[in-house]
Amino acid sequence: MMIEFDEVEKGFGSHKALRGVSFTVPAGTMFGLIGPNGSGKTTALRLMLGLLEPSAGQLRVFGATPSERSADRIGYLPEERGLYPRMTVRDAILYYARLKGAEPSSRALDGWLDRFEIRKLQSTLVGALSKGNAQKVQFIAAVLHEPELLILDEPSSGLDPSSQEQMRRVISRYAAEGHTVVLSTHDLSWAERMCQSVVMLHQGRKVLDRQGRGAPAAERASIKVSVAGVLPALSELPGVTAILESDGYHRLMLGPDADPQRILAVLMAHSHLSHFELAQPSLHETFLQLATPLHGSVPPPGIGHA
Amino acid sequence: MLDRRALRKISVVFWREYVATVRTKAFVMALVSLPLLSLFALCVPLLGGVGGRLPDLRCVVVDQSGGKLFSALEQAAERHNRRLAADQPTSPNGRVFVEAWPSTYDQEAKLALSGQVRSGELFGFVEIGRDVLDLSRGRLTLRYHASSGGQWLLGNWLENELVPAIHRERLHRSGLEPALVERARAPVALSSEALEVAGIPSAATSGPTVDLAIPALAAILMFLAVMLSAAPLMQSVLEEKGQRIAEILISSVPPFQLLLGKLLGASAVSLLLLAAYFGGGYSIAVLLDYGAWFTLHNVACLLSFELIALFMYGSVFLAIGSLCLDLRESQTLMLPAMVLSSTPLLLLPVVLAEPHSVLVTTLSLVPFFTPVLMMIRATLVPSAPAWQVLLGALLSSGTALLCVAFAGRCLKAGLLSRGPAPKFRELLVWLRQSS
Repeated sequence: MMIEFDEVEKGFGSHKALRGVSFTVPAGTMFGLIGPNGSGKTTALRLMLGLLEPSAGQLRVFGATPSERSADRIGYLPEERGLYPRMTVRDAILYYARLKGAEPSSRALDGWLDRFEIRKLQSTLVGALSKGNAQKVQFIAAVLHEPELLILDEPSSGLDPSSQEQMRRVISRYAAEGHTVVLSTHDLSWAERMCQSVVMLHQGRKVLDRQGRGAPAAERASIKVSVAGVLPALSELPGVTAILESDGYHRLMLGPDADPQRILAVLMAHSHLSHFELAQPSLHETFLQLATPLHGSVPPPGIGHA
Repeated sequence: MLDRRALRKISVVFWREYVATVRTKAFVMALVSLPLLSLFALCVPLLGGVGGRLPDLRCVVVDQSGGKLFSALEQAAERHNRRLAADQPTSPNGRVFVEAWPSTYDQEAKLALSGQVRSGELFGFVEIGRDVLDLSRGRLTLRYHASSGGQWLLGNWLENELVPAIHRERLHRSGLEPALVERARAPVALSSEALEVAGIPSAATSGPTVDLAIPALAAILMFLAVMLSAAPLMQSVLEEKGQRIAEILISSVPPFQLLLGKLLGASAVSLLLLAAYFGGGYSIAVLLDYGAWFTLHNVACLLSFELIALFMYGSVFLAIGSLCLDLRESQTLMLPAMVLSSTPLLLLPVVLAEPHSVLVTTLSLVPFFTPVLMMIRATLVPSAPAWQVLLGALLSSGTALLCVAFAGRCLKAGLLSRGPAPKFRELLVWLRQSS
């Protein structure tokens, strides 16, 4: 395993940023870490980097406790960009690579600049760059030393749609070359499309651990229905936690014990059913369900009411 | 221990810090402004004439001693005005005109003369008492009145002309030949000479005044070089925190190595400044035959204590920068650090008056004062005992290492923080957590 979190806790005074979090990241995969603001994602990333130490539990990166040695094998793109504004693009990238103990060739650097189509900016002062270009420079600085583990915190922020697509392709290619990538993002479509496994944190706890593509049965699915007339009341629909309405359809959100066959029977008995579709939840829906429980729904496992 | 990889990272940080500082306009200005300001200070006296001519001294002399002193002053004024017209046409001095007070000198006369001075009609007036030439009198006081802006001008002129005239007239009345007495009272100068130093010709030694002045000047330059190099460390850490660079830095370089790299960079900047200042200073000293101070021992003392001071104060400034959110917040914490660092300079008069007294010896062993005070004491003739210099160096080096360790912890704890500077109790918790 590239990364192993085993009942990891991290507290800052009385505030618990992480509460008994466990997950693993296999080598050579792309791993998504999602969660609302303040859920503990950045703390988890800082623990992986060795910037913080767990208050309790065990954390292993490259099979050992994070150390200076392991830090050199990690590339890190923080959420907020950090570049010296009075350095040129080229100097800034080379400086960060050298801090990782690497002495990258000019060819390698030129290759990355070309990949992002910013070679002409290499002598520009960082302070004069647009937010998007600064983001690209920061990314190159994180990967120029060819890290085995690349940790990206919101890599798409500040990028226009075409640059986002460019960034997504570059990250996918880097992962396809056998590197491990940890992606912390609010862009759930990125996590869904790119990551082999996704963990969601909420209020310091792990509330979702989706290994492999597709949602596990434990995740709350929904049923999209169209009926003529009035739907039965929520209490008459066994296992349904909420009813949403959009585009002329009703979406019945299913609890963990819901049985679609029984729901279908109830619907057919009470109304004229013209559409019935069992839908697996998207990551976006899951995120909304877990992070912002809807009115009338039951709270997801492990989440208390705030 | 620091392995090769760590040393390499330290050297990368060192070089960036050095280059980032010496390429700034502020550094270039600091490098050239001090010599230029010194040059300006030297030239100011030469520029005296540019400010325009001093006013003419038109004054009334109330001579109640018989009139001889007025005559002497009248002749002196004529001599002065002739000399001014003939020999010194570009002199800034004004002419002198004296008039005798013709009538009774009483309170009314005094009021009238004061009124003329206030209105600008007169520059001033001087009272010469009846008994001024009486040999039985002891110390006398001559009173003069002038407009408040130029009292010193009239005072100087009377000092130079009236007092010698009184002496001459008194000698004459005593039957003594003034010229003979003048020769007998020819001034005997006292010349303060330096102690002999083995291997240095007597002519090359400079004398106690210069022997005190050069170490004092060296201490001031050392202080400036330390402050000009150490203070930017705090700003650089604040910038790294503000621009979110710190998180990337410490994800690549352990805080202690980052700290060492920054301190070494600042040391190199400081040594560059010192080299520039002392390069110029040495050239001037050699030209003026005051080069004897620049021995290997003295230069080694200067450089050693400079580096100790830089590590000590640089660490403190770095710690302050890492604990604060912005420049304004850091200034509150900087105040005690600045007071501490500048105290040795405030003590300079005491140190130069009695460099080896018990008080100064004790103060020079206080680690935060040692670099400046011990450097002065170690480079004086006679110098402080070697054991005191070594003890001071050891104590201050130990303190500098403690400061570095403290700053390393502050850096580790503070660089990732986003809130305001911690209170003392919070700081202790931070430091304990970062250990």
